[in-house]
Amino acid sequence: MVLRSIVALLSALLLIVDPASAHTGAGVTGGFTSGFQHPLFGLDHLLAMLAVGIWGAQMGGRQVWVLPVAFPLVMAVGGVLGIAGFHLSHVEVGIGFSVLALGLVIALALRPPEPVALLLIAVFAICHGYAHGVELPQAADPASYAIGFVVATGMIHVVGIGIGLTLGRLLEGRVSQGIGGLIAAAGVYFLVS
Amino acid sequence: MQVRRDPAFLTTIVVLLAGAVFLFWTALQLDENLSNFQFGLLQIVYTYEEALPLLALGIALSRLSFWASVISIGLFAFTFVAGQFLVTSLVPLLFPIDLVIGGIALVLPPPVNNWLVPVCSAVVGFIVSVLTAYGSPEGAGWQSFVIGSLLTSCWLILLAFLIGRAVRQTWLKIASPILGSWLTAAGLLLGATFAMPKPPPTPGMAVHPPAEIQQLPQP
Repeated sequence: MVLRSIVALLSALLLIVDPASAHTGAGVTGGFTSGFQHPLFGLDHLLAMLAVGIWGAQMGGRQVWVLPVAFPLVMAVGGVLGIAGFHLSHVEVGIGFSVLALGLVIALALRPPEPVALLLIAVFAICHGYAHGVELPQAADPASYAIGFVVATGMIHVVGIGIGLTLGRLLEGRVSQGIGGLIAAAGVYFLVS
Repeated sequence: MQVRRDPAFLTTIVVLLAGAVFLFWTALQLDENLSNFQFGLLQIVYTYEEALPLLALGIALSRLSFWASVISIGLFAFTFVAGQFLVTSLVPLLFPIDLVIGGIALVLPPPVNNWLVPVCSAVVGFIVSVLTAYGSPEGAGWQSFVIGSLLTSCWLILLAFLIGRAVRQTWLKIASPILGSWLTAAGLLLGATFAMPKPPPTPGMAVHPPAEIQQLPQP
């Protein structure tokens, strides 16, 4: 019931909001440093990656590493779609929506079956990967840029896992849920700004 | 992260420091005339696409049984030597393949890794060898360059191997697939950038002045 309400609420938001504008595809992209900085300074990407790590830690067991492993792999598929020139619409909305949805699942401490969690992660990973993939061919050094942003993305996941496994367990998990709530609020901001 | 404080840990620290100090000393002489051997030493650590899979391979090897590790290192050395005789026109595609193979070696779970990591080791050795041959200087002295590259490659593998042995296997069980997914993702993206045609350059400013300006009266 709770899950249905969330889906309904998120679907309604998706229909009324404007696209987020963190990934515009504009700007000069360079090499490793540029790729490494991109996820760190793009708040939407940063929060989504952090949320993946925190959610994995919150779910416990295999999920601690399965979610952070699945995300970059599917993100690469999205990246390849972007590089290949496939057109995906509403990618920016998807990115904003990913921050909101991942924040909500942490805030509500949802523990869906592994395939459902992986499917959710995969859809969002495609959006994040596609946004980077579109920018990649314009990079001065695409090889170093790709490695830079994948490593930065992975490191944010690891930080998220660290937060989830340490701070997140304080007050019977309420700290994790509070962080999830803040991430969800940021997601709303990305969608409506 | 919990680390076992046993001889493997101390050996790791010694190998890490000795290799790092030597490479740093070599790098400091960049302004001077470096020998081919020194260039060979440095070219591996300066190339992400070669250094990262080697480190990945070292960690993957640390999770294998003793004999599987020995066979893997032997296959790596063999394919490295064999690769010197084959420099193909597909060199750019070898970089992403190298990364993906390194990533797969890390993601493979036990006991499958005992059988497949040696294969990954052979492939990485071959690719690094071909890339080394591709970047080696022409004429006399290329052998020194290759030996330098082989030594640095072995140092990177040994370093990651000893770190992997020193770290508790329960931690490695989580860290290994995560690192592997990074390498695989980077390899896929890299492969796509090499395979896809480059977009046309963004149109810049007009070379010729607009017609209105051309029609201005000359002073």
